Amino acid sequence: MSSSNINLLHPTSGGSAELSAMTAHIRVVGWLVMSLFVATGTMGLIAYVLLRGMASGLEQNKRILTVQIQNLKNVEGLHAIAASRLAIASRILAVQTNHRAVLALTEKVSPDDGIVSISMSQESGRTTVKLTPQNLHDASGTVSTLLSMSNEKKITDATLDSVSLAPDGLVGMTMSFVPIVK
Amino acid sequence: MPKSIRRFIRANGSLLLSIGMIAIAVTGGWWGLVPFGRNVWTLYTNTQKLRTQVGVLENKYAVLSSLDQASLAQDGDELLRAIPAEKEVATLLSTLEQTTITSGLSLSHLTIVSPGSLATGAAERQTKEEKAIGAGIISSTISVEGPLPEVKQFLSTLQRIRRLLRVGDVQISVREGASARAQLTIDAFYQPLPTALGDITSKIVPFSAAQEDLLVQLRSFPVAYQTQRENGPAFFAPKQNPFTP
Repeated sequence: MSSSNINLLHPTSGGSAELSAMTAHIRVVGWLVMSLFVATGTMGLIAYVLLRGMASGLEQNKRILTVQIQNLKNVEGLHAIAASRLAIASRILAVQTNHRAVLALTEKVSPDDGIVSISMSQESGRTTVKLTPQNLHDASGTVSTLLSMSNEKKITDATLDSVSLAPDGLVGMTMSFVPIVK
Repeated sequence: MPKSIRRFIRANGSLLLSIGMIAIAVTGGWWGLVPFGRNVWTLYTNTQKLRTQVGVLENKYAVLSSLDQASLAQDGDELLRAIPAEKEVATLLSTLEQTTITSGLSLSHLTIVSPGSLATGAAERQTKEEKAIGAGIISSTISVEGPLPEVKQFLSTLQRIRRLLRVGDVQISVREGASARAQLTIDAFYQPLPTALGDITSKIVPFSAAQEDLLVQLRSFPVAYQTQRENGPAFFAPKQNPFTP
């Protein structure tokens, strides 16, 4: 349908039929658009009213709960203190690795094994041990001790960093390992 | 009005009405429905947020109501013995001395590093390690002497006392006759009490089974010192003026 052929002010007989068809179409579209507009508006209005009611109820609940929680702020404070300290305690106990390693080593080392001094330090999770056995025989015994600790999965990644022999016969050994925390 | 226009309106009344309806609907939709729809959507999202907040608050209220204030206060007091609110150098000294004596050793040297600071808590900078643990650290070095088995016992006891301690560097020298001398660096911990609670909507969870176990474990550790807290005010009592006589 070409609208350029229709003269609205002076319709011809052929153009009149086309005009009434177009009018019918526009009328349908018009009613559809209007219905859509009214329906959307009505639904929006209903949704708005419902949501306002819901929000108002929730706001009231929130206010009541806020007051109730504020009445229990002592309990909340006590809980916060206990919870934070428990978290810290948990971390402290978890990082007592060096302590456990010392205990594990002191269980194994005694004067009977010829050890005259043990020194331990820790850096970046790695424990360095300096042992002073009385002689080379005891030194080899110490290495065996550490090997057995490694086998018992008490330590891992053990390395013998240095061995020195002093004129008085004392052997200096430096070892490092990573304690296994269980 | 010209006659031709009147005739046109009469002839095309329904068409004009439809066009008018479309124009009203489109204009009304654009200027009215779209902003209104946006407002309804905002109201909907706000309501959803509110619903979530109310859910959190209900949960928090339920958790708080289920907690017993008296037992929490007791737990807090016991935990404050493990990790006090201040450095409490006196209790650290007392703990180390008591533990040394009960282990049958003699204390030959004790140094506490920076026991006090002129800076306020806020001005003190936390070290990387303190940040990792979440508590302040007060370090000390201690030298003890005695039989090697007692030194071992001492090391064992240090990790089972209420003021939580962590042994750092250790040096044990064995002397003649199974006598040993041990030099240790020991860290104690403290954490100031919170000055403010979090947001009202911040979540709160009851203690987990692991936390309950830890609490039981800490309770089983003996307290190796005596404090004014035994008969003194609860830890929530206001600070006394240090300048009053």
